[in-house]
Amino acid sequence: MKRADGRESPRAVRAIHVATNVLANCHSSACVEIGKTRVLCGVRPPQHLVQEYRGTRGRVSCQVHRSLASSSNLDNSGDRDMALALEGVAEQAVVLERIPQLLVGALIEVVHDDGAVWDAATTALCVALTAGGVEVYDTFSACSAALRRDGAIIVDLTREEAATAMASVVVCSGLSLGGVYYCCHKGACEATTMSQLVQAATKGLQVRKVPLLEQIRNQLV
Amino acid sequence: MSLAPNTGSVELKAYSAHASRLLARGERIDKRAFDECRLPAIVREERVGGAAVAGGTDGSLQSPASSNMASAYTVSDGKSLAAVMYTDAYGTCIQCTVQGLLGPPRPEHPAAGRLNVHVEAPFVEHLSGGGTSTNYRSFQYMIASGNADLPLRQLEGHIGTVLDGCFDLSQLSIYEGEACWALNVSVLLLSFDGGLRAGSLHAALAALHKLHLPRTRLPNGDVIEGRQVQLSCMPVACTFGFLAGAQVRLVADTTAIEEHIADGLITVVVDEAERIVSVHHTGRCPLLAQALTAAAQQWTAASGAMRKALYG
Repeated sequence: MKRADGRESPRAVRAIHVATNVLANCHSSACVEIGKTRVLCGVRPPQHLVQEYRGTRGRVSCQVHRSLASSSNLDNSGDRDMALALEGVAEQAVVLERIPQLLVGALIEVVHDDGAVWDAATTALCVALTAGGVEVYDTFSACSAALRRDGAIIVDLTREEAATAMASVVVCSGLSLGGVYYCCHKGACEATTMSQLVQAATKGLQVRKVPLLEQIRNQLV
Repeated sequence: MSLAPNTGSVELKAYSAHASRLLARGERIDKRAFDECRLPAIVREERVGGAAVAGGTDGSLQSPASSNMASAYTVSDGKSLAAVMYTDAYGTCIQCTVQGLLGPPRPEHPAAGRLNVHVEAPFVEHLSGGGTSTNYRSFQYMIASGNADLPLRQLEGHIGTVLDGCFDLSQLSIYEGEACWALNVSVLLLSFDGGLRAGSLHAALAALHKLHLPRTRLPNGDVIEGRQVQLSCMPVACTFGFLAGAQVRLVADTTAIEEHIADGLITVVVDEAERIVSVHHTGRCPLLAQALTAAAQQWTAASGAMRKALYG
């Protein structure tokens, strides 16, 4: 069965492209493209936390900005939820004891949205933080899976597939150590189907692991 | 309009003094001549929407005179009509996307279409939206942000003014007084090094050059054929830095540190018939008329390479 964008298999993931230091006025930056989705992440220079937040751990703050060209409506509550969830992911994946009393601000710009925004945003955040010298426990990325109306499970959704899916799952986990940092389920399905969705998303992450780590190694070394 | 340049680890005052000494000796930091401008590289992504957008459930055909536009009709997949990335060798990256909607024309101009310009700069520290709210049209943003994004709104006005002079809005009209195209030009400033007014204008003009409006269908069932809209002229812009002193000097295509040093900035927009489309001047001291005419003549003589790089 062929998908709308030409992919042959429902478990096929789109190719990922990573470029680092693409913005001149940021401390570090990354651009991630998955299919037609393009996400930029810029990390600002670290600044000192204010008095009441001092301690032994730093902080990573995230903002998600979507330009008016990539979204036609003005509702940005989903972006705020995504920013909070990305802060939670960064809190687990970044070694915060290495940056005590520092605030690292990251801004994620969704330039073009064709599904897989979570995949591109987490990858861009991880690559930008790594390029800026922030130490992470594991390279993390995300993948999405959905249940179609005819019962098939598809991986790495486009925007049309995400809009017409009965249930969908986004899994964000580390690529080498395998820890799951974020898992979000939408829609209604059985528990066994949800476990199949999570397994399909994890397999999609493993498929994308080798080219992603290879591009990160080539860009940063 | 001049933004503080990003000097990295070097103090701004020391960097300004160093650049001032070089300019006094007739040199620039990047070894360019005073009348040399940076040539851009335009990356185009021509994405035309679907061949035929399915209409509503109303199958009856009505005559154009009695058709009634109940609401604006969005292109179904939401794809952009044109996407252009404006880059050069100095790290400039400005992205411009044109999106089209169908809607009613303005009552004061029933035979013309609509064109909206929006400029965003999310990666500039003091220009991005305050706090976590990035909804530029909400009342909370308008109340709380003050004049934080005033340069962006001025940029929108400048681009709109130049487009008024070279883009005929009657090309976007479908039925006079009933239906027209409403274009949204969204300019995204990702990275720049001075010359912001000229760069963003170039990105918008490159996106609107040879724009193709797709074949579409109105809610009353009329099929509108696709057509190409043209710019009536091909303007190019350049920002000149004005250095006052015993002898007035002009620095063409200023970088951010030169804009910080210069006594005034002149942005000149000329077209291929050597006519002046727009002149914009800001500065700390009054400007002589000779400096204004010298800037316009210099850019009229040297704008051929930029026009070739911009329009192909």
